[in-house]
Amino acid sequence: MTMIKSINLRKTYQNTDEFIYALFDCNLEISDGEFVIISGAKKSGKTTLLHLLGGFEKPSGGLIYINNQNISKYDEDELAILRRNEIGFMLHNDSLIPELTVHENIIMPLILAQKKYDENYYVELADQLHISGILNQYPKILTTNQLRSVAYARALINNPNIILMDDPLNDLYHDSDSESLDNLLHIISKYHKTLIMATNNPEFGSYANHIIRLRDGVVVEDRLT
Amino acid sequence: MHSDIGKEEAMNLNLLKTYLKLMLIRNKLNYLLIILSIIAGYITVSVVMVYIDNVLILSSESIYPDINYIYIGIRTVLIIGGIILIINQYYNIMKSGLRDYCILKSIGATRINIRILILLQVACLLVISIPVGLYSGYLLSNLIIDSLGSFSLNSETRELIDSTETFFVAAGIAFCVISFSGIYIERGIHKMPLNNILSHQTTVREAGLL
Repeated sequence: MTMIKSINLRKTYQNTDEFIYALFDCNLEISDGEFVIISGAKKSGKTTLLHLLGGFEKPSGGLIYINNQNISKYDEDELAILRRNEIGFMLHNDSLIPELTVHENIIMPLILAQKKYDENYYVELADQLHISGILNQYPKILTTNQLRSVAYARALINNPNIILMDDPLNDLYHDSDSESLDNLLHIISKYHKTLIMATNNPEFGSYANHIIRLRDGVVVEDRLT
Repeated sequence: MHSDIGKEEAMNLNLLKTYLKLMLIRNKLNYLLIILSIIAGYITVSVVMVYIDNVLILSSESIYPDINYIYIGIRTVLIIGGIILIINQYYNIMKSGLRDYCILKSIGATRINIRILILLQVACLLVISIPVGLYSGYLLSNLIIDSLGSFSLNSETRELIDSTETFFVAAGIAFCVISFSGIYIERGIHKMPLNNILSHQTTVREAGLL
């Protein structure tokens, strides 16, 4: 089943008196449960594509369908509700709110949605990501790896169908990073989520089953593995 | 392995409680700074009024017939200076929270959620900082003026400093300043492209807050 579809997707930015194409006529189809890697050099448009698919930005042209809903014309609040219900976005490591505990950070999407959470799912997430022992701690005392795991848990807590990750391991890559990512992939595969990751790291190629490569805002490769 | 969060504790978390915690913890130093700004402003205005009374009015009334205009001008400048000081403090508070508002937007906070958060921040500032700051300023300025025994005081000025009306006018000005700057900043946040914040590129100027 097609989860995400884009038709002639474009994004332009205005730089003084000229328009710059960050993305040009991008046509994609991403199915339910796929692990998609969006790769490309810096400034190739991969983050822009990820943000458009996640409803963080509005396209300059073209259409985006998520679960057969055309989100291109959604207003700010409709996009916020889409992000809340359908999309888990893994921001950078420092994206936790320092004044809230790990537990509060994780369940913040649910607090915003005024939803009760599935306690079994929550405990399973915490156990799988090895953060059960730090739920009452504040982010400032956590290690980078723990921060990352908490961010994974927050992206997953609202049980979204789509997980977006923007260069999740952009800093130094250690074995422990690989372990936390393995844990995440295990959860994603168990719950049959669609994962879309923008990265330059070739190590992820072996995990993915759909690779999209961008160059100067144009899709130059789109293949299933 | 079991989660160390009790079920009851977890279920008790709600939006308002979390917002309040966020506002109160994050802003504890900022509240103090605003209180100190209000105290400093109040004392400065009061003491300068007494000084002007002595140096300009009481001693020179016969020499400078238009001295009252100068007096009103100086007082206006001082009040505007105080307002700018409060706006600046408040602006810094909002700037420090910008990143968190954007994180919240990225995980599904709607326009209403952000508005409530900002208005709650305004309400916390109004409830905590203004009464504490103004009342402390009022007491301290009176203490300082009384200790300046060698200064004589124009009866109108004495009345103005002692009057509770002055207190409420000052509270009203502070209320308006904080409320309007809160609304202005809240509007700026919604104009801000989320992409910029997510990429850690946003400046306050880009956000339309200046």
